[in-house]
Amino acid sequence: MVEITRQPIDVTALLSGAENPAAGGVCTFIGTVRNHADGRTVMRMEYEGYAEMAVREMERIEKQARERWPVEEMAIVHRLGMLEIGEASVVIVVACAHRSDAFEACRYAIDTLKKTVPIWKKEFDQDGAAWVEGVMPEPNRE
Amino acid sequence: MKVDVKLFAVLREIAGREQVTLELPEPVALAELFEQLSADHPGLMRYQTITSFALNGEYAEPATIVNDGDEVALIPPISGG
Repeated sequence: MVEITRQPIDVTALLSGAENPAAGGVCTFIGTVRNHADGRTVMRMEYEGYAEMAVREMERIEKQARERWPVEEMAIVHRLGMLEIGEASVVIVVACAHRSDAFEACRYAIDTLKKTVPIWKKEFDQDGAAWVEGVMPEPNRE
Repeated sequence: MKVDVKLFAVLREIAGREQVTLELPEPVALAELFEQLSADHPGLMRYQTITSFALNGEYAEPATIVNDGDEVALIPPISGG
């Protein structure tokens, strides 16, 4: 499942949703708001997204992960809005029979998300706010 | 013809709005559409080389032609995660 939400991400609920008797390894990646960037102190981070397209790109990532690895359960959730330090902006859960597949599929999902999903973040520090320098998207077509 | 253009992040702030509806006499390429918008919002021009496009929710090349009723999005460099 994939989701864009404006509410705090409930990691425990995502893990419950990923329970599967055929899974022997569950890999979770949690991206959190960090209190520093390039030597500056970050106070909070605001996320904006093109939600309809972001969902479609996240669905594409899940589909590709399932084609490449024997995934039993998978969740990709990204939060939008204003987040405080330490809050989760993105959570990816992958359950597979074996741990190596779970690690690889999880890594693939977050790395691809950063290259394809139309989401932007603005960093707030003591001097003001600035959009984080991003990357030009690498459309995911295969 | 009418085309809705969505703007995000830094481009949205420069234009001062989330969406613009353009009235165009004929179908145009995405790249030309960006130039037309830049005429109204000159601050956009410096982002021309780093802006990507989406057409109806899918990434599209700058040469792709936009037709009546299409939804275009201007996508500045992304920074999700």
